[in-house]
Amino acid sequence: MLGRKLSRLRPWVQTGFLAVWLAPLGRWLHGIPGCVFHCYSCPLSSFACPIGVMANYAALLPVVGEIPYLLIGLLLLVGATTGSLICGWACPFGFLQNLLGKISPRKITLPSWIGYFRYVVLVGLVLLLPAILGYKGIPFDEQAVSICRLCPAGALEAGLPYSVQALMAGNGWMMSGLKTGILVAFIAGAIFIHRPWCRIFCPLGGLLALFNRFSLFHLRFNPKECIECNLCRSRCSMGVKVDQAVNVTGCIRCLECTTCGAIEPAFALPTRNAGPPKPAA
Amino acid sequence: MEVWGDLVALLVFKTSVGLNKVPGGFDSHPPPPFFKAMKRVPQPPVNPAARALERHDFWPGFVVVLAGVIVAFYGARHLTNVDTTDGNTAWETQLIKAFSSGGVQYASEQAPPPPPNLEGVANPDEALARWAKEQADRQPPAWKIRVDLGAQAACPT
Repeated sequence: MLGRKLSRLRPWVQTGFLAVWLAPLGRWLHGIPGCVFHCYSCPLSSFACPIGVMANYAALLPVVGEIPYLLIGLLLLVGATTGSLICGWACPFGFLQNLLGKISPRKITLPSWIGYFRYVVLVGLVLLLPAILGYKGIPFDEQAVSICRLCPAGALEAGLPYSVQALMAGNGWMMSGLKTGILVAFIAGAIFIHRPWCRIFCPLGGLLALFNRFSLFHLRFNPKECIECNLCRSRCSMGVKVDQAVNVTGCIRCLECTTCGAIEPAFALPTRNAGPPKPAA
Repeated sequence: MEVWGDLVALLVFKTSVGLNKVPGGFDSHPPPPFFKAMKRVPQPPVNPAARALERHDFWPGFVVVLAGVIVAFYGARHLTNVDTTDGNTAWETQLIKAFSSGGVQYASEQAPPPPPNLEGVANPDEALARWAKEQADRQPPAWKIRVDLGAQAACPT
């Protein structure tokens, strides 16, 4: 029954992490990239957005040739320790999508291959496009098409508060029509699709999910406990074929699949065999 | 069961978390129709024998964690080759902070000084020609990018 307990605990852990990402510590930690998807232009952000930092570095690369060592180190550290557990349990943007998803029980199902589009966003929009435009001498802040200009997290967490502030001050709506449209589409999408940003677009989730195959924290299938009830697959809202493999790139490690009892969370240790138990003869 | 005084709060708590089962109470009610209407999504049959063996060794993960710690520590102490507006070299953390506050300045963005004010000038043509010559002789700045540590743009994009 560990899975059910974890399922009940998860919203509270996600709420608790909001105190980390939205902490009223001011902006003094903006020099350190966070490991979750959270816009650094948000008035309540504690850390820098890792994807924003990555795109800015990509734009600077042709000009000054700087490498984001701190960002790479933190992503390696977090990814190899937990994999995409951060997505399921700590990401504020994922939590928001979870809450929006509660509005409608009816959900549109998506094919699992759509998750590979996250890598198109990562390579195309976060790395290549800023680097090409940066090579042409266009600063990242002035690039007409960039991840920050298209990001719904930026629209929601930064664009919306500043636009409301500008509206109340009588200066009109400051967010562009495109960004407002993205925000509306995202909210509508999150109501009818389970975590649409995470499943289709999130470059950070895609990056962290690459570590799932060898991260220290992982999911382990115990065939002795499996009664072939298929509950693991029914519980998965990310469209992962849990009955075939669990440590895959489509998984956000929400741990809902552990409800069945045959899949259990585990942490790889040097002293014991961390492989899956062999099925009974 | 008869309960008095402060024990009521404890009993309510224990009942709410399921430690105290009350016959005929909330637990004995049938589930609401909403839950009855929820049906499990039909799934294809499971074949545990066909399942991939997902071995998870300690060492690959540990080596990457160690590499991450070393690279992150190096990054935290890394001086970039980007200057700051006050003439120092920017730390990596300062450069990252500049991204969020609009503090990255490009040399190409530097506006030339405005033309001189010609009102009250004895020889405006000469002053204008001198300004134009200064602009023509002006060397581009030695830096390509620099960091303004005092920038406070709320949303750079």
